[in-house]
Amino acid sequence: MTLSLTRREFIRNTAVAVAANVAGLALPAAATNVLLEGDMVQLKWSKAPCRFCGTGCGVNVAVKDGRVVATHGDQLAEVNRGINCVKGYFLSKIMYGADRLTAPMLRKKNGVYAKDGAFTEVSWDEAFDVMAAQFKRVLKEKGPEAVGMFGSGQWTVWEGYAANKLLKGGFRSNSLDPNARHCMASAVMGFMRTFGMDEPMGCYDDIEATDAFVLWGSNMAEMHPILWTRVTDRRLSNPNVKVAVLSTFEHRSFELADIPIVFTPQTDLVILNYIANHIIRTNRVNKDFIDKHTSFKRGVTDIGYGLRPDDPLEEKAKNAKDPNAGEPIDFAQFAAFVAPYTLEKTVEMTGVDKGWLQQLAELYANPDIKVVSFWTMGFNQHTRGVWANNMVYNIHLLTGKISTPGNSPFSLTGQPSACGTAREVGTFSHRLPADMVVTNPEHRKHAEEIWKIPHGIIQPKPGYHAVQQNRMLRDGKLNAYWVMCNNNVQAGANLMQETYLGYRDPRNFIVVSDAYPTVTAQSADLILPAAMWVEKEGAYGNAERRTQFWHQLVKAPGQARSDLWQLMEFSKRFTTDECWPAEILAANPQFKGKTLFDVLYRNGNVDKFPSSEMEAGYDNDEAAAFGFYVQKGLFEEYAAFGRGHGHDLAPFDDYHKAHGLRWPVVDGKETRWRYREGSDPYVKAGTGFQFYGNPDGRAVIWALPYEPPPEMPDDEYDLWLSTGRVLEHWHSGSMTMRVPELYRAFPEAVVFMHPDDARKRGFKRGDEVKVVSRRGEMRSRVETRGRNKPPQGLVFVPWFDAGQLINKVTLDATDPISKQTDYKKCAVKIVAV
Amino acid sequence: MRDEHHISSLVVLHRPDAAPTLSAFVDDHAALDIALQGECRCVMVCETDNQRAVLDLIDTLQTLPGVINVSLIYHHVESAAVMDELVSTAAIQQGAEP
Repeated sequence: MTLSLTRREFIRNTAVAVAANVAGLALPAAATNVLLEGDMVQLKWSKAPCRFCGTGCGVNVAVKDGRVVATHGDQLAEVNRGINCVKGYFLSKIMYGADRLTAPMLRKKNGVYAKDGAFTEVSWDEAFDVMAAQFKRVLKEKGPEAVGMFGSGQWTVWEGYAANKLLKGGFRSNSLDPNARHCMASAVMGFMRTFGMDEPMGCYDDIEATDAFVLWGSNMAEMHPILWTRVTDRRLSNPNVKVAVLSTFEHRSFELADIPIVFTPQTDLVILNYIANHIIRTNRVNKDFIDKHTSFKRGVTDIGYGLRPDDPLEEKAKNAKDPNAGEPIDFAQFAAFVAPYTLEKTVEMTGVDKGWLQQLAELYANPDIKVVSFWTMGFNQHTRGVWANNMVYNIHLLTGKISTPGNSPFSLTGQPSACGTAREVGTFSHRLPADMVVTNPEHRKHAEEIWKIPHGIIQPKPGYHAVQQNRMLRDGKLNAYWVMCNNNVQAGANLMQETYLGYRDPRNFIVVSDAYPTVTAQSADLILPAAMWVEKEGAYGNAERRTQFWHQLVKAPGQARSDLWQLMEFSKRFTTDECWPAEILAANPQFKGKTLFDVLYRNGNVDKFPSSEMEAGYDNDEAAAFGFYVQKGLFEEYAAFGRGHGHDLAPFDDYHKAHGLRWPVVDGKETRWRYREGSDPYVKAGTGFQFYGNPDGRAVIWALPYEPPPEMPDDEYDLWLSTGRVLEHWHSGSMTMRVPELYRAFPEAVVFMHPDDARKRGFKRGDEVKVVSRRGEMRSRVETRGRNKPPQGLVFVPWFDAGQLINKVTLDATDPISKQTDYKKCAVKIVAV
Repeated sequence: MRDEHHISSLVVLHRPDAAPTLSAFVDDHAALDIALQGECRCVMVCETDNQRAVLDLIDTLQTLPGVINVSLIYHHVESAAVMDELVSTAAIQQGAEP
C-alpha cells in the first residue's frame, strides 16, 4: 500500500522519529520507517560540526534547491549524540540574514578611496587593488611590523594556516593574533607552564566516568548546554555523584549544584590554595604519583596587570618584565607556601561558608572520588588567569587525579575552533604550528623547511598580541590591518580610549572580512564579504582535541568569498621583492620575482593534490578558483608539523568519513586520555604516566599566591562589574543581530543587580540607569530578577551583544603572562540617567 | 512576518511528577504537541511561523517547575506554501505491520 502524506506531515514524522531515537523512546510502529527518507522531500543530508561554540556538536544538514532548510543533531556524533541546542537551531538561518554582505564595500569620496568617505560597492579587483596599494605603502614606509592581522577561533583550520603563512612567511610580520586571545590565552599558558604542551589530557568521556563535577566560574547550563545535558544525565541517574558550582554570582548552573559557592571576585586563587593545603594537611597527597611524575616550582610574584607601561600600576610592579619566570623548589617548600591558606583565612577572604569549602576540598582530597574540573572565562579572563589554571592542575596532580577516566582538569572553550585553528595551527603572535614558537631558532628553521622558504624569513620577535594591536593602531604604529571572522570593536576592552580611535585614525587602513555588517565592519575602510560555514569546505578542532571536517554544501551569496580564497588571491598581488630582504633573495635567487602566492601556496605541497581527488557530489569553490585541492594540500602540509611529535593528525580523507577524531591519531587510532600508559601511544611502557611535553616527563606543580586585582570597588565606584554571556544574547549575538550600534543611544541591555543594592540607590526593576567606570559609561536597565542573581556589591552585564557596549566601561587589564583581558572585574557605580 | 513554516522537535527532560504540568502547558499552546511521553522525558513537536516563537517556547519550557533541560533535536524551515504538497510514501508501509 502506498500512503500519501503532506510534506508537513512527513517532516513532522521525521522530526519525531529523530527525537525519539535520541530520547530512547519507542516510536509507534507505523512511524518507524520514515526516518530520514530524505529523497521523498528532495533533501540531501550531509554532516557538519556546529558553527557556534567549542563543544563541537555534530549536526546533519539538509539542502534543498541550493539552500540549507533543515538541521538536526547527528546521532552518530559522540559529542552530542543527536541532541542540539538553541544555538544549533540557528544554523539553517544564520546564512540567510537580510543584511548579508554580498559585495566588497570601500569608503570613497569623489570616486576614490577616502578615510572619511562613504561605503560604496566595488569589484573584488578594485578592492584588492586599493588594499594592496595601502599594504605596499605601509611595508615600504614602515616595514613588516606595521602590517597586522586579527584572526579567529572561528576560522577553519586551513584558513588559519593559510593566514599564518601569509603573515609570518609572506609579509614577515608576526602581528597575527586570533580573537582566541580573549578567551583561551590563559588556558594555553597554563598548559604550557604545567605540561609543556597545549590542550587537555582528558575528553568528554570523563563526564560519564566521574563521581564529581566542579565548575570553576563556568556557567555550563547556558554556555555549553549539550555538555550540561550530559552532566545532568550523569548526576540524575547516579545519586552519589556531586556537583559543585563556583561563581561570583548565582546563575542557572546553580540549579543542579549540591555545593553552591558564591565567592568574592579574585579569591578563587585563595580557594585553590586552600584545597592544596587541605590535601596536604589531611595526608591525602598521592606521594607515589608526585615523586614519579611531578616537579615543583615557585613562580615570580608582583607581575603587574598588562596595562600600558606608563600606568602607575605597571611602573611599581616588580616582575612585570618577566612574569613567566620561576625557580625549582621541593614538596616541603610547596607545603609551607600553601600553609597560610587555612580554612579560617579562606572563609574570611572569600565570604564563603566554611561547610561548603570543606565539602569542596573533600571532593579533591578523598582518594575514592573521581573528579572533573571544568572552567572557561572565569579562570581565563582573569589578571591571574594563568596562575588559576596552574593552581587547578596543582590539586589534580597532588592527588594523581589526572589522565584517567573520570579524573580530569578540563578547560572548556568558547569558539568552534579556538583549539583547532587558533592554538594548534599557532595563529598567535608568538607561535607556529604544533606548539612551536617564533622565538626559538630551531622552530623557525623547521617551519621554513616545511614551508620551503629561505631561512631567515620568519622574524624572531613576537608580534603585537590582540590588546597590543589595538594600542598600536591607536598610536599609529600598526597601519595596515586585516580583521577576519571576528567582531573586535565590540569585543575588545576599553573601546572608547583605545579600539575605536585606532580604527578611525587616518594613518591606518583597516580591512574587515565578514558575512555581516558588524560594528567592526562599519568601523573599517574596506569591507570584504565572506562565505560562511557550509558555503565552503571546512575543518574545526573542538575542546577535546577532536578534528572534524565538512564539505561545501551550498554557494555563498553574490560575490561573497571564503576567507581562504581572499587570503590566497590577495597574495598574488605581492612579489617576494616587495616583501623579503634583498640579501635573502640574493642568496636564494630562485625565489626572486615570484609572487607570494607562488612561494606560499604553489610550493609543491599545497598544490600537490589535484581537484579530481575531491569527493564527488560536492562543490569546492576554492579548488575551482585555484585549480587544485587547496584544502587537502594545506592540511597535509600543516599535519607535517605535528606527526611524530604527539600532535598526529590522521590522513585528510579519513576526516570526511569519520565523525571527528581526537589527536594524536596514531595507526588510525584516536587518543582519549593523554599522558597515561595504555591509552596514549606516546607514553613508554613501564612508566605509568609521562608528561612528555616537558623534557623530564614531569608535570610542574606551581607555588603561586593570591594577588589582588588592579581595581576594586571603593567609595566612589562602589560595585564590582562582571561581564559575560547569557544564552539570550548568544542567539541574538553578532551573527544574528547586526545593527549599527555604535551610534544607537537607546539600550536594550540589562544590568543584573541585587534587589537591596537597587533599593539603596532608589532604583526599581526596569529603571534606566548608567553604568559608569573611570573609563566610560553605558546606559542600561535595572534587572533584579531572572536567572542571574548577583550578591550585594556586584553587578553583572552581558557583553556579547552589539546593543550594549559594556566595553566602553571595562578595563583593558590583562594577565601579564597570557595577555588575555580580564572582563570579569572592575569597579563601577550605577547612577540615574 | 515572512512566509515561513518552522517544524521542530524537542526532547524535554523532567522530573516524573512534572508530566501533568507539561501536559497542561501544551494544552495552552497550540504550537506544541507531545508526540511521545516517557517516565521522565518526552518528545514535543513545535510548529510556528517564525523562529522567535520557537525560542520563546523553549525558554518558557525551561522555566517550568520540574523541567531539567530542553533540547532542540530537529529543525526545519521552508515556505509555508509548499507544506501542503503531497509526497509519495511507499517506504512508510514497509514493516509497518508487526
